[in-house]
Amino acid sequence: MNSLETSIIDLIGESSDSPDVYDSAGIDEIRSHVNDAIEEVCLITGCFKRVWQIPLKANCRFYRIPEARERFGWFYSVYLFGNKSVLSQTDFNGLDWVDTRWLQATGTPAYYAPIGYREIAIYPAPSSSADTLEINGIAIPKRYSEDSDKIALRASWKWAVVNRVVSEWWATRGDAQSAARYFQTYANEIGIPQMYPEQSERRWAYRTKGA
Amino acid sequence: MATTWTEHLSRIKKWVRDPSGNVFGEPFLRRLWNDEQQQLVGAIGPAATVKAIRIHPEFYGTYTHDWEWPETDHTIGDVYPLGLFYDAGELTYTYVWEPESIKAANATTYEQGYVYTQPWEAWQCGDPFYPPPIPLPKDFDQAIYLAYDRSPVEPTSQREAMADDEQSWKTRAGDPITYWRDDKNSNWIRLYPLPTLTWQDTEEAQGDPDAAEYADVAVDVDNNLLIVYRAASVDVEGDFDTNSTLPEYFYKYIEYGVAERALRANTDGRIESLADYWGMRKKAGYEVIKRWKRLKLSDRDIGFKTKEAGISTSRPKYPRLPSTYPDAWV
Repeated sequence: MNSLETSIIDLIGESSDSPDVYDSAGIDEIRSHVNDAIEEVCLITGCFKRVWQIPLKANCRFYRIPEARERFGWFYSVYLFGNKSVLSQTDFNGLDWVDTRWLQATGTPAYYAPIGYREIAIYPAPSSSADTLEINGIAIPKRYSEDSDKIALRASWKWAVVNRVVSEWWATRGDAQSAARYFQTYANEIGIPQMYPEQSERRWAYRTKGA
Repeated sequence: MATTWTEHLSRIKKWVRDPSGNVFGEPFLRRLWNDEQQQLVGAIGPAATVKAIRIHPEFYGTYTHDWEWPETDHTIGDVYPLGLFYDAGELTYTYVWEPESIKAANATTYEQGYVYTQPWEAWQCGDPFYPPPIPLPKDFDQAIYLAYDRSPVEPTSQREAMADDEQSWKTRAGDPITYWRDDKNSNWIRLYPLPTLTWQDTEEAQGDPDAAEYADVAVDVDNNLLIVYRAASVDVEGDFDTNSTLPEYFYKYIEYGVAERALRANTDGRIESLADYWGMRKKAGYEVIKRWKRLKLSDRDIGFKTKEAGISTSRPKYPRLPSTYPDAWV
């Protein structure tokens, strides 16, 4: 049982030292709630990033981001590793505007167009199998299943997750009022100030043309 | 690994406080699931995907009369209706002269090309009477981009194709320029002009058209159709069904929606307060999805530009004639 689960078990009136219902088998139900909560916190805050490196293949212009570990959330930046260049994001109208025959061109990739949530088309297709795409993306952590698994969550959001899980637990017990109260606490804790962690550190200013 | 319907069902039963399924049956919850899933796809914006489609297309059978249809393999794949229906005679016919003959007319009107009974025959006869249908994937909703043999094919309508080329729009062969959809009820398109086919005796020779040309899956899209499309939601039917076109982490919001509607339905399990709670959870989830949609564009450089700046500043490099190239041949 990890520290999140211990906090939850205590709040719902179970003994975390010798649990009656949520023992080593019953804890799976709580884990399922915790995983849901972590996913949602990561979706709201975009707090978890990782790099996917995808070796390019000659003449191949479609790539799917693998999800063997974390799930893919959205693109943060795409970089061509060997060529040391950034790929610009566009869409299929954009590709068509750049080059109507984009399905035929080969060269050094300069653009990418997302398809769905984890597939991309790149333009031009690489002329050789000799470079790697470095995709910086917001990730949704893999659902953990063991006591010792790593939890991808900022410590200060721990209580938000705990409150969301306790809210769902009350709902399964039929107490909508308690469920709503805990969910409200969760919503406050995961509020707007934390939703833009990077932007809050920036200083926004207008700049004259001369500057 | 994607979560199966059985796993979702187990969680939903917990949300609706009916773990043994005494009040809410599986079919009832599945219908709600399929409806909520459709709503989620609408909220996210349909999931897009890319596939290569085989040319020539393969159908699972042909039928002539409507009463034959239940006996066909229509549950497995597309079946092709052979012939047209002549309402005045209540008959199905194959050639245009047949209704004339029934009406004791001269029966001298003929098709420009050969009538086929299976769409693949259109390429075998070389001169088909009408562009053969090409069925798109079952989850096809709307095309984003379509290319034949790596060249773009633009959408049009049958009416426009007909108006542009009155004499030969039905039989024209060549490199496809446009395509049209038969109707919104079906996923069939027609390529115009009809491309010639490098005939393959075996399916293997054409690669696997069900997989697109991803890095780890080599698929030959040459002489085939490549389509990027918005996918519609596909109903869950079996215990182990999954849906791989949507992000897995959004499916819990469908569960919340199902719980809300089940708890609000006029059954012995009706609990309004809990239904309100799950409704609120679903609404909060949809806000998360809206935010995700905005953040998907994080890496996009979007900016306003004055007219004077022109559009050439961001025009990318692509092959151009060298500046020393003569601008006139002498």
